[in-house]
Amino acid sequence: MNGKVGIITRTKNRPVLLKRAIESVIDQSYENWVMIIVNDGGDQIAVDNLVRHYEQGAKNRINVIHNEYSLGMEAASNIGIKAANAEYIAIHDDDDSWSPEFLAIAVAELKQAHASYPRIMGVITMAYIVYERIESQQAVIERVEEYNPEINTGLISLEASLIDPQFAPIQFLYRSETLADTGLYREDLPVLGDWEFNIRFLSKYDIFVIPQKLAFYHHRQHDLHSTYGNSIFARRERHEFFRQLLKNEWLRKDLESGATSISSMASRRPSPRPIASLQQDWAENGMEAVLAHLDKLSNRIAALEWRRRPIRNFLQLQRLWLKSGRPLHYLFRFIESVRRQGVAETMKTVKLWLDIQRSRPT
Amino acid sequence: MFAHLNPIYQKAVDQAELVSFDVFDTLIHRMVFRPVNVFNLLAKRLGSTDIALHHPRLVAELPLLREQCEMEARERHFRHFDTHEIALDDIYAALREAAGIDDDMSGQIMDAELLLEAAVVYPNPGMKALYEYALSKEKQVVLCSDMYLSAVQIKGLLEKAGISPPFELFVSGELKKSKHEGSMFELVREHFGIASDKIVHFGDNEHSDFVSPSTKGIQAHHFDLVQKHTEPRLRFPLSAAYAEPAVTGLIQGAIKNILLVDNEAHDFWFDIGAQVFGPLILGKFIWLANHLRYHPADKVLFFARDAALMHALYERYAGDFGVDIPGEYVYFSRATLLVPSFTELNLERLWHVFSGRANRTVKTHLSRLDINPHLVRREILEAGFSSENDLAPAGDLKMFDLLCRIYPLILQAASRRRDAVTGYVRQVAGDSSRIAMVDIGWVGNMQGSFSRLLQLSRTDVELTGYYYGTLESVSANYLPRNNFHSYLISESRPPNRAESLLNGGVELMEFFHTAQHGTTLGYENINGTIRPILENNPEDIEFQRLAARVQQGAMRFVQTVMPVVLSVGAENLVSTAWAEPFFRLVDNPSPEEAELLGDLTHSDAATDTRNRLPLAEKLDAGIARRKGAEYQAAYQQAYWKSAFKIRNR
Repeated sequence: MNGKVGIITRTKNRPVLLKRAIESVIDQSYENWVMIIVNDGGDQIAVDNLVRHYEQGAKNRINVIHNEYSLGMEAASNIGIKAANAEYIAIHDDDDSWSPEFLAIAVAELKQAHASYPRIMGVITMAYIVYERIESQQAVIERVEEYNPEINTGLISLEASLIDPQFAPIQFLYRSETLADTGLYREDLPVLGDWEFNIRFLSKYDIFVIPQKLAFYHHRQHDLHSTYGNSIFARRERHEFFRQLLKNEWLRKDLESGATSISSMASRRPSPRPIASLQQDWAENGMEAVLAHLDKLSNRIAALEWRRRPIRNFLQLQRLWLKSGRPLHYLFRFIESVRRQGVAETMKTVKLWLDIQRSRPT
Repeated sequence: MFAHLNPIYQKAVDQAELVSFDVFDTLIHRMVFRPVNVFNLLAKRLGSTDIALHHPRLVAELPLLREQCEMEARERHFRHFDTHEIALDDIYAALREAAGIDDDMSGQIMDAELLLEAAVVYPNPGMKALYEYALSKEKQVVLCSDMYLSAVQIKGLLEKAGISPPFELFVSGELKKSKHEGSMFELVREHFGIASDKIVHFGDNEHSDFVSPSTKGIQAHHFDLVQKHTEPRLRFPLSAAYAEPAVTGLIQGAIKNILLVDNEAHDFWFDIGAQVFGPLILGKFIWLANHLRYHPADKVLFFARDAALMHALYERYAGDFGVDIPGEYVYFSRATLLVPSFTELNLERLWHVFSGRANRTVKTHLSRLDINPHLVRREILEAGFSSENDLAPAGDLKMFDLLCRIYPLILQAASRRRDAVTGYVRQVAGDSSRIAMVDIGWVGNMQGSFSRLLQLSRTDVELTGYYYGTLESVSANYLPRNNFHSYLISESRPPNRAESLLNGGVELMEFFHTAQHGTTLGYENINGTIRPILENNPEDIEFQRLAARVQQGAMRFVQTVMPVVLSVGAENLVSTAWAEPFFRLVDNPSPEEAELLGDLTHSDAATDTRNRLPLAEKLDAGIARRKGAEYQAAYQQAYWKSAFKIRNR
């Protein structure tokens, strides 16, 4: 068990992606690992064939567990963890991948950090989101984008984690001994089980951030209803549902234990500071300054609710743009932003900008 | 032995019975531009003493205060004794009064001044030879000085400069007679009992050493070689006001010394080395040594090829600076280090492989990463190219898009290239846990690469890089246990200096630092020791030859000024002012500098030493005159913008 990494891969009928996941693990320069593939109710023959194909490179380090029927993602994780019997645990979903040096660096850095600060029991590396599509039995990469680039040094914030997940499972490696304190993954959660687990982990231990982009969090936006869809895109509504369910649960628990009270919660207001400071910057330095702020606030952008009035929004945006006095300038900025960070991120920026405009005193 | 003497002076000595010399700026010089710079250096020297701790204002204002006190003492003396001639004690009496300090402290400052005078003094070779010629002809020799120092003190300075008796020394401060007033010449005539027309006097001051003795019937020669022939050759403008007169005065003083004593200084390459690059590298060395004194390491690695000269300086002078960390010259190149270090996907670092000003095809770019373009045709087309033969100029976003699409192949290719260089990295790191590394700088890729490769086997090593400068994108190489220190610019700040470096400064600096060996191509294992394989590129050899001349000049500067630096205290001279002559060259070169240095070439991209482009190309006269699109394109491509404009105006 000394130094061994248990790599848990949950899969179900995605051989194209599973193939890449196996290659990602076999290519690791760090060789002391065991990969537990938990086939959660999917085609067993396809998985077995694939694993057999990599027999030579795997050197008996890949074990497959077939669930007769699907038990759910987190149940699959727990089955894998129990079977791994390893010093370190990493969840490597079937659709994600690592750089060949992920384990070498993550294990070494975790050892080093833990030796200096024993409360550090896990590390994450930085990651890229890889946007891809499946075509002719192959994942074709369309573009890459840094994932949460602002989380690039120091420790993961428990406070920020309570608002939103700070990292994806593919970025994370932790010491298995922590499971005795934290418990396993919650099997009743169909999504966001990793987030809930991370909160429990962070409430007892720290997670060190390795500022190297060694993990790849793959997204397939255009395969919404196929088996190759990403859970966060294909099941967006479920994510929102369970996010709130968990938050309510945590608060309820606090209220019951007396850690907080209903009146103290009632007296809370959303912090006006970010918007106020943006407004001030807008007034003093114009749009440039606001855009500069936005990069820093990118992890909060997702939390902002976009008013679902597309026609009204579009017209208002158009009016503001024409009134800006520098329509060409902003058009170029828009195009540049699309080229630099893609349509989705640019739209988030525009939406936030419109929200700020609406909240400005007229 | 005296064949190089000025024949007019020689003849004058032959005909005289008594030969008289002025002392300061004639027989001996001080290694500063103007005498007042000695006080600037004095303030620096006192900067790290208890005097500065208890009297910070006194030390900060000392240069001006010291000058004012001298004037005050002269005026006071004139009121009481009808003469302006004073002694050093009189000046320090005035200083005690002005600054409110006691005898002990003023004594310490005076002693420091005298020690500094001794450190900066050197002989004028021509005048020293004339003095020796006069002695060989058995002439009587007298030295006349209008000076506040005593005869004993001046004799000590002369002794230090290698000028020994027999001579008699007349000093105005003691005798209350001066050359300026002419009374000292009368005294000389009476003392030796020699008629005026049998006396010849040499000196640099037009009035005191020429007009005044001439009116007394003495044959006088105005020795103005320094002002007329040496000062005009200073590349560092004298008119500009500099924030650090101690350093700039010392630079100019040392250069005057070299111009006076060294015939090699007439070679352009040697001269530019002495006047521009010598101060630059010394400034960085002082800064580096000061850092290493306070932040010790187990070893200092000097990275090939740009740190070769710094390594030579380190081996020679580190001990004098109180640094006893072992130094080692190690062989890396961006070609051997950068790609294997892609342990992660870092697009900013990856982009450096594809930088460069020459247009290359997609196929050429991919070949640098050992990626077969035929295997990624779909990605090439989806990125917007029509084929692998399309040109992908620097900054082409299509190329960026393509790299993103094929990143897994890049990581695999990097992994394949890793073994040999990783072995060498481990070998040079040894068992050290604190490593300092020295290189020229910019985006920290060498340190980032070294650190990434070392990280695969060691996570207990703290690595600190010492650079001339780092650009903003150095942040792509910020890793745990890594520190970056910069001498001139840090993360592109201050912006004006960063601008200069990005518009020619980087390439000029890299030329100057070029080592006398080819770039590192790879490594071989010989009996368990990993050794570098070096390139043998004929074009590079010519480049190295020119760089060697520049380096000789730079080393001459360092050798010349080092005793003064050590005397003042290196920690007191940590300053970016040493780089002023360099920034002057980059921003405002002379036509000769633009012409000769503009023709130098620079390797176009980080991993390609064979494709070289001129620093500032000279265009066809017609194209330069029209200033059309071709001119604009060439201007954009030129590394050194200001020289390009001068060569093509």
